[in-house]
Amino acid sequence: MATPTTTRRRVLNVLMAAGGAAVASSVIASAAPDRLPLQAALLGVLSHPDGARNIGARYLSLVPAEGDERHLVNLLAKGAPGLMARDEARALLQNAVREDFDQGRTVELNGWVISRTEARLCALASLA
Amino acid sequence: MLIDGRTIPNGQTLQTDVCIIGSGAAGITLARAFSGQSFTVTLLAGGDLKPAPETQTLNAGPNVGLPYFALEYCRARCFGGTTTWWGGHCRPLSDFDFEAKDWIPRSGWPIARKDIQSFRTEAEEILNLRMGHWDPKTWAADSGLKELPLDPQLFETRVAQIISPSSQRRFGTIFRKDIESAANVTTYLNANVVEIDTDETGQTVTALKLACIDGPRFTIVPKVCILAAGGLENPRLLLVSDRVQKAGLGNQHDLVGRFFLEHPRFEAGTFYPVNSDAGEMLYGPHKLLDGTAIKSYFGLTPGCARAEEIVDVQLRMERLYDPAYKRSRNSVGFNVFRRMVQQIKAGEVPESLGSSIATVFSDIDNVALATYMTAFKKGLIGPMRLTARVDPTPNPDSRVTLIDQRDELGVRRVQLDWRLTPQDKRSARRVVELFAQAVGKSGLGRVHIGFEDDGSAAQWPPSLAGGYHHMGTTRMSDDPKQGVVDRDCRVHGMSNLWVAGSSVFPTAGSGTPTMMIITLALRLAEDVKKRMA
Repeated sequence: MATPTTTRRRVLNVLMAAGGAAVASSVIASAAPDRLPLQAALLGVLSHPDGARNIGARYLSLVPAEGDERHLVNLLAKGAPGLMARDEARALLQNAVREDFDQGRTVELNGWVISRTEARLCALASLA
Repeated sequence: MLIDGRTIPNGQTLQTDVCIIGSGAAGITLARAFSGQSFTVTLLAGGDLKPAPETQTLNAGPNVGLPYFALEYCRARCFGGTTTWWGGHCRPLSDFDFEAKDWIPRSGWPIARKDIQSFRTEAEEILNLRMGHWDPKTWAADSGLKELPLDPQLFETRVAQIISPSSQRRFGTIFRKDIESAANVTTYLNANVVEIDTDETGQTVTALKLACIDGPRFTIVPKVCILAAGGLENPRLLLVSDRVQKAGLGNQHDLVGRFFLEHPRFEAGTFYPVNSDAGEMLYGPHKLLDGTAIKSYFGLTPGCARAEEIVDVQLRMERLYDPAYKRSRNSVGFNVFRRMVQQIKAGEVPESLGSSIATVFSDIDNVALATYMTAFKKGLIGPMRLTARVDPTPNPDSRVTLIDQRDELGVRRVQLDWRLTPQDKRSARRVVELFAQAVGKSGLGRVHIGFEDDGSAAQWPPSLAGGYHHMGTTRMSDDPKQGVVDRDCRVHGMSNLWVAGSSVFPTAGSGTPTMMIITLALRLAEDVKKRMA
């Protein structure tokens, strides 16, 4: 059974996967070169999607208008073509997270202060 | 000269030029500064050379406000005062601390830092600190430890020096010889002031009435009286001295005992760093090679605090340890083992060697685990606890009052009603939010915030505690309607009564109190010396 500490670690891993370059490489499932559908590529960045779901559900309860997988994929992929490798998805998300923090686009969910991109990625995980 | 007050004949009257009530950091600093002067000085200690239960009970009283320490043991009632138990953290107040801030009611000091600078330098010398050494960049360069690279527009690193070893903090020990050998200073131990008497105008102190537990009662007649008994006892003595001034001395505007300030601290969240070396950064505690110990904090820059209109909040990062490591370190076997090692290192034969070895072997698993994890730093885990410390809004409802119950000497006890304000909680929450955003922006990690700002000043996280800092209860102001003492620490409306210690602080500030207590005591000593010349 997951303890609160392990749950927090998982959540952290999830967030770092999206935001922290140093950690991201260690938590990404694999660096497969194959190009995947956008949603799969984005979610492939997460090593522990379970840990993201609570946060994602909380985000969607606050922003119900984004409660649609396709809409979230569009927001996260920012018009990228239909297929993407996981490395590309990771780089895309890392840039977006950095921009979010630079621009003050942060949200607080269940006590976590995260970027809006991270919140949306968690939301996507919660809907998948 | 040190005299046990219990040896004074009952009913005797003693004359002195200057009487200092209290022998803690302020009282001993004053007495040392007066040493060698042409006037006589009497220094009063409410207990013996060490704290004792029967004298500590004189401090007892109920807490009716936020959870707080037992008053009985908040202050050491003995020669040396609470320096006897002091943690030794030293950090000066900043320029910004002294400023009046229009978003913080009743903030600001009537003096500026420049007014006390020379005394602060002297205080650093007394405390044997690295003088003028408060810039984190200097410490980082000296120690090889790194500052966390947060946005300098938002956050600053603040360094506190910790007096080490602990024996160097105990004024009663380190300055005893100075006090004993001062020809013009007489110290009375176990001598408790029970009332400050005045002339019939209520403006001049004429006598101090003293009592000893199970001992005599006697009187001291001073020309000048300095109250230096701490943030709870100072207002208590002023309030009980109501023979002429019915509301108590200096209390014509109902200010004595109000504005009780502490530095509230509590667990505010957890920082999850990206890199595990955050624990090796400046935010210790660290003991450096030369024995100097430091501890660092984050605080908002004045510009950011001004823009956000919040009170000062410092964040401290504390390393968290693996639960197994904590358990093994706290085990009996490991503690006996550690003590044995310390004694052997000091060239001593460990006490009760046989039984100590038996204890270590009976708990060998814990000893082995703790030793291994300590040696290889395996006990550390990634996250770091964030503890917030608030410089609270001065609050007249946070106060010390007299109750009907009396102590063993017949003096009315005090009751503490410690309160904070919604602004304090809002500020703490905002600072943690800003910290979380700053570490995210710098790519350093993420923060989980552990408390809500619910707008209530009554409910705080269960970890809420103070720092044994008792301030504000005889606050300083040029306006008698706003403060009990003036900028020179003289009680408004009194000709020969001064107050020393942190009870005069109008705000708590971002520094630690003891160094400021000593600084102000040195300044007051200079003033009194001029008056006595």
